[in-house]
Amino acid sequence: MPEQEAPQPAAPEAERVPGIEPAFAALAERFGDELVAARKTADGPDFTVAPARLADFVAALRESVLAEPHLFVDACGVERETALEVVYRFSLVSRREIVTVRAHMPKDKPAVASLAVMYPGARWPEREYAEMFGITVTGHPDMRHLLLPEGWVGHPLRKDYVYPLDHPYLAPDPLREDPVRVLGHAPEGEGEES
Amino acid sequence: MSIHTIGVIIKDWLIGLLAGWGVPVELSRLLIEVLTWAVGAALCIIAIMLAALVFIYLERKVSGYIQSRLGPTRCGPVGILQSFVDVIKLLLKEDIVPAEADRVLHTIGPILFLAVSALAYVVVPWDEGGTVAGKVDAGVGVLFMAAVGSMGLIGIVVGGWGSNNKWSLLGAIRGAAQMVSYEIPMLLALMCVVLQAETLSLAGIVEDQKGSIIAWNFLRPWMWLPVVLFLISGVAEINRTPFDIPEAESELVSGFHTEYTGMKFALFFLAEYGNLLLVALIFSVLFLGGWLSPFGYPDPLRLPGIIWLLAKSLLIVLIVMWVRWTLPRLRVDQLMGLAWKLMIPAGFVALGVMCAVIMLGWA
Amino acid sequence: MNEANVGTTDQLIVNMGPQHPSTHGVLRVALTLDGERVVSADPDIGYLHSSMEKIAERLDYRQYISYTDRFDYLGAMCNEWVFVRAVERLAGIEVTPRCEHIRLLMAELNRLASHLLYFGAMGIDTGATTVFLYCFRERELILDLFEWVSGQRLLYNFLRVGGLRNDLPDGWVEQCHAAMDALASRVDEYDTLLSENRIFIARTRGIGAITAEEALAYGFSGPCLRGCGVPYDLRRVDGYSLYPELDFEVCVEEGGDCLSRHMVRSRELRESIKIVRQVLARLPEGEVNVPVPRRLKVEPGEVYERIESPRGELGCYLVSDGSDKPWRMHWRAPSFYNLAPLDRLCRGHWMADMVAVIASTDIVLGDVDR
Repeated sequence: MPEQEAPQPAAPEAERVPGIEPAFAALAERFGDELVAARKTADGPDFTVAPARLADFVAALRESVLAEPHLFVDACGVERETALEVVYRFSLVSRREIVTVRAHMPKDKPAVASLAVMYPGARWPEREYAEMFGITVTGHPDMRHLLLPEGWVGHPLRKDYVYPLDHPYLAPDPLREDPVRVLGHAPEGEGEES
Repeated sequence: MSIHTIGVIIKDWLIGLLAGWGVPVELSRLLIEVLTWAVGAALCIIAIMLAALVFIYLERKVSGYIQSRLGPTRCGPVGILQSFVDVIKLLLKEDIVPAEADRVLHTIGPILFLAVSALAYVVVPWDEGGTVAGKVDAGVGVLFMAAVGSMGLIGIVVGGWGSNNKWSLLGAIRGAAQMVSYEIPMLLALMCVVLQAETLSLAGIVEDQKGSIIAWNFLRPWMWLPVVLFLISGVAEINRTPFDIPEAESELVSGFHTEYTGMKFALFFLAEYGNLLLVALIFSVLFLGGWLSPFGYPDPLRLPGIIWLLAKSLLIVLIVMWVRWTLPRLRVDQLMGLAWKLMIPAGFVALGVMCAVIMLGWA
Repeated sequence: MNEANVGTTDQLIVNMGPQHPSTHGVLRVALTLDGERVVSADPDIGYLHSSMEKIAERLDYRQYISYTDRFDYLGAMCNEWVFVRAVERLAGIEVTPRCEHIRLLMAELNRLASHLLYFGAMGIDTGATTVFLYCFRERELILDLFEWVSGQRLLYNFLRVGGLRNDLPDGWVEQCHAAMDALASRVDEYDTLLSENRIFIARTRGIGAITAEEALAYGFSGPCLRGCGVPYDLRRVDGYSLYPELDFEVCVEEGGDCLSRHMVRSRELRESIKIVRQVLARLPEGEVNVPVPRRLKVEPGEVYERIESPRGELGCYLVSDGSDKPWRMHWRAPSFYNLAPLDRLCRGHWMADMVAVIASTDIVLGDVDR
């Protein structure tokens, strides 16, 4: 299968202006350089922190933005042009406000501090992005594979992932091995997917 | 003419026939005796088979009616041949024994279960003076039935253990616990009837209720508690919803018969329906006057007693089916709690009341 | 058994699933039992993993709509809706009022169908098979409506970016009214058969209980969270689409156990009927589609759009790089988060309660594995 080309120059994070809005000055003071960005969006506050301080940062948020009862909504990974990103979302119960916390990591050795102890709901999504993007999650109590079988090689949601055609879990595909015998003629439209 | 008199006539005719061939009377009497038993045994199995065939069809139609669907319609008119087709299918199916299973126990389990179920039929009084084997009801029919009935769980345990499957084992353990527990309130209810009739003979219990419907046990106020106890523990003994925890499909896959296919599975299935009929028969005998007609004795309609008995049993079977398709299933601890905390004390209360009634001379 | 073992008990490890009748699909739970008590339950998921998120990166925005049907197949309209809402928000497309009404109508009908299936499954898992068939009888009415409008009974592929596949056919509204009338009279029947049954209550009260704080930390949402006494219903919290203008109640039950979750869904059936009737009454005339370019390219950016699906908060996280395909697409699947605390919910209960707990969280394994 042809790989998608490298991302277009207008990658999403390019538009985000790094900077701390005045409303979050107290957090900025506490975390210094490790709070990379803090903005207000239509949905709610949006923070970017250093991956190693993610858990500490969310713990700090629980005294300010997340002081009210809130739901652990989601955690997922995104591959950006130059970095890997994890996105955590929390939602206030009383009104529409989604708190987003991001952390950027280099692609070659990504590692992030786990929230699984604070939010048990983060256990599964962290296991999921760990296997899908190859991110090391530190402080997670149980880092087995979640959706993929044990021993799966590679990280499928990475853009440079190549599907392993000779993987032990895959049965041999007769169509791929000998298309002429299966179809009765040479396959048409080879490579049309691109 | 009752079944009993027919039996006597056939016996006399056979003895005469054998005497004509020069067989000594003593020997021919022995032969006849053996033959009677063999025929009786065959009749028991046939009764179970027929009951199972009819009840499986009935169950499908009744559940279909309750659940606003049609049930079987394709085999024969209104699907009446469905059960026969099923039997053929089960006979032709491959018999699969799990790799690590105990082959001997795996085979013995269903046979034991069915055999025990068939054995209890021996003492059922089908008609005036007529159990299947004529003389078996030697005054201890109740005792025999209770003793044999409690052996059924051996088949379940053996089958569940022999399957080498954890679900089967769990089902077998549940089955053992359940059947042992519900045996007790059932026997306590039985005791009340025995005290009432002052006999251990099932035929004698029917004799005691001679007369029209007013004379039957279920209309005597001190029998109402035993009636309820017997019906509930009867349903529990035959593992039907809401007490079907040994096979509990949604929890234990199929419980003790998870690993059975083909004819061995069919044996379990036959025995379950055989037990259903048995419980209904015994209930009719104990509380609904057995083969007696509701219009008085002798029957003004002159119908054979067996028809009345089967009609009453059918009514009970329908009630049991109705319950099955309506109620959810109890959990295993709730089921045991019901038996030990509620039904056994209630059974003793019923027994006490019965004793008091006898001492006061109301019975 | 050797001499040393006599008088002691061993723990039994059994595999519940992936072919077990009550795991609602291909869920495998490694159960450790002490007798019949659950010592621990370790869910093993991924049997239905179908790379939904990777597939999205290879298809353009409109091609992907038919895929959204296929993960939470019992809430297909809701999946489509949240996806087209996310794309429309990214692309800045406004849909017509009639389209918005019909989309909401479909989502609520889908909620009805899904909750009816839940009722049936809960019944059959606790041993009451008849409720299952009753619920399917009524679910059929709704599926007929879907079939009429979209040609499909389960995977509708009905919503489009900027509109719908087609408008409602003639006579559909009347049929929908009739179906709601039939359903409204039957909902009480289910309650008599199941929710008020003493055995059922004994099987579900206090079983699989979880506090509101824990439920929030686990990411519980939808009826499961509302069963813990948290009034978190995105239809009210977010007030998206036309919901602020409609009259309905957010059903909340205290208790956090299987029975509370069950009762929330039971009441939501009635509320959804109410919503459908209101929308039918105010359905405006007009176009259903707005013009959308054949090759839809959206500006670079990202959006997290969420709606209340029958199972809870269904979120769609869409990252665009400016091409006609999503750069990254992530589903916040409610079943995934509702299943995760299974061990916490079941520990210490009886094995039979497992079945009730799994049924009461109303998971769809396609939704869990995506």
